Amino acid sequence: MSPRLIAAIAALGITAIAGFASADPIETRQTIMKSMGAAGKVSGEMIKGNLPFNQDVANLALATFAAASLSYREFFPEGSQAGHDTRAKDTIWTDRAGFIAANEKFAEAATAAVAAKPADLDAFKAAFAPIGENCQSCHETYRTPSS
Amino acid sequence: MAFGRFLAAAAALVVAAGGSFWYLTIPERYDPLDLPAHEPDLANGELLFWAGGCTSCHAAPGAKGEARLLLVGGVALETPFGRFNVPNITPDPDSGIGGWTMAEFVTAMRYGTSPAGRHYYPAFPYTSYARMTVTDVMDLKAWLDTLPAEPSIVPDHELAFPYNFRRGLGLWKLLNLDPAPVVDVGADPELERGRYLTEGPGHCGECHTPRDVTGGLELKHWLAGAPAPDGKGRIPNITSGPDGLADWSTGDIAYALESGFKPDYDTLGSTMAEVQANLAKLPASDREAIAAYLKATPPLLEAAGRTIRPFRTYRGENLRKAFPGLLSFHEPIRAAVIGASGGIGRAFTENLVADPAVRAVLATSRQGAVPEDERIQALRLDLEDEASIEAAAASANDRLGGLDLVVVATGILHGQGISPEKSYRQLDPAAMARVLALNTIGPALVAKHFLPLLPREGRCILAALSARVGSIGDNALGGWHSYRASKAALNMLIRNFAIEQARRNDQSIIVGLHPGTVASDLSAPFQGGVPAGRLFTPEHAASRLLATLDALTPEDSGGIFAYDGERLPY
Repeated sequence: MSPRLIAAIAALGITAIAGFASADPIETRQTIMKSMGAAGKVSGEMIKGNLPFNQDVANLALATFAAASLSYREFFPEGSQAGHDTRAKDTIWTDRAGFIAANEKFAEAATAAVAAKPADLDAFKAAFAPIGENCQSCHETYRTPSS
Repeated sequence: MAFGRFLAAAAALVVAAGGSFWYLTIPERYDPLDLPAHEPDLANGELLFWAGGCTSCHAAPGAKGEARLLLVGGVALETPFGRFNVPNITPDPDSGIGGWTMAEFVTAMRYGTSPAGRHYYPAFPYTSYARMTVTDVMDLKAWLDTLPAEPSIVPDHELAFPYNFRRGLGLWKLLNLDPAPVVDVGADPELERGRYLTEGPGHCGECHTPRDVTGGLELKHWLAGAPAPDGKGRIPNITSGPDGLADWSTGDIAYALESGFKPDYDTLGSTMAEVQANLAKLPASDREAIAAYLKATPPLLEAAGRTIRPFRTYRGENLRKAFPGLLSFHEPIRAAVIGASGGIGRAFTENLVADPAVRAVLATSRQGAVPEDERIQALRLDLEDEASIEAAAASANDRLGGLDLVVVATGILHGQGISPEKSYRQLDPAAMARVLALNTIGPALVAKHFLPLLPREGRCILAALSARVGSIGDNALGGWHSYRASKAALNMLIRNFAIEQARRNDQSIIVGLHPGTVASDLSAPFQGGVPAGRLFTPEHAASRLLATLDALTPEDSGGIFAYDGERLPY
């Protein structure tokens, strides 16, 4: 296994653990999101061909998405609308039902991807695609643009 | 009689001026006979439809899925000129463009002229579509004709005077409608394809390039980023420069356009999400061509794009309000802070880094160690070592191509065997020479090597920390001989340099600054006599001094200004 791959896996584990180590809901949800960023990076680099496809890594990345998808909604309590440079939009709190529905749609896609247990790159691409679509559509609605 | 002839001549002039306005603003059109014989290629038309992202503006607001192919219009574009309501372009003969001839469509796309012979507002980005080939436009029309027809009612644009006067757009077009390519990419076919898609149908420059006060694109800032058209946030720089895509590989760009993921695996957001969804429908080779083109663009600096923001001044009472950042510069500011590790120097650096008008900050210190930030570039500069000053200036020129704002934030009053003299009996030549070396000669040498880096035109500032006690006219107490003398000499040099530099650039400003008494190492032993509320933190002093600088005009050059904007006597 290449050193880059090992480092990527280590990053996945560390960010996933750190996500639950903070008492602050904003920091916690940001760390969970970053763990998905790390999982996305590993996935994307394999899809782009910059990293060799590895079934275990691919499934670990999908499991990270699934775990995150089932947890982050708990960390948007009332009163956590501001601080830590949060880019969460008020719509998360004003349209709670829509936010939960979007989260469930994402969780479904992520758990389905884990259940598919992709064994080759094409299967992994197919499993990953619905996850990627959820990232963007939810960010569009519930996160302010970066600039 | 003579007056009568004058009147006639004046009337003739008015008629002639009106006539040339009328002539110059005649909307241009294609005659059907101008069009080439061409069998429309529907697949190419569809490709151009996605490249152009027609649906992003022309589908109904919030349309999803198949509804995105129903181009009934209704989206409202909010701009500084008013509200543009996007029209129906379905094949519906009444509300849409079903009744248009091919020549009318090509005329609209390439000349910005409606079938009724009126100018379109450039909210419809025909300045980009003018770069499309005629046959590509014909293919696009053929594809649009295959989409479902649907009537709809879209209100008229709601624009303020004088923008509601369409004929004036003829003059605007003379200035801004030029189908020539923007970037020279040589003869590489992939780069040419990328340029065609980006500059033409993709109309990327319409958002990523800042506009002048008339709404025309500032091509010198091509793709270098701009305020968002709706005024909320900024559209990023996508040139190959460090503010743009320097850290992105061609593969990263192509993958982002395909998947919506940036290299850090965050998602492309805001209006780009929709653009990306459209570009994902192009062949991979076209996304790669766009990526290759963007990496081949000139590495332009982030354009501040503040032309529409009003000037403000901070003299007097206004100064007490929070300082929102430098507003007086029209270009992104390249700043240098000399002595960035001291109390005020560090605060200047932090203030400038936090200012969106500032593009980069060069921070120098004797050790070369300053706070870390991607916009801060640390340099070593020792005021007592001219070679290091010259080297820092050369480095500033290499990295940023010049500077717009230089703040010399150094100064010594005590320490290292120096203490301010209360009597002439205490004068020590070595200590006196050291004070003059650091407070006078050092800043003078900074001016020697950094003034040539300031632009030959446009606003630029060199400011050096002086002090009220350097004023001869204001001196009632005496004492502090070396310090006062060093600052008085500095004030003279500032005045001299201001006169000299004005010959090079009459917009340049060279001033001395009195920061007040700041809680820093320099003043530490002398803070006892300062009234309550007048001992400033370095942050407060730096932001007040920047606000003071922001309000200065070239007429102020050569003066010494206090933290509250007051001009001090020499």
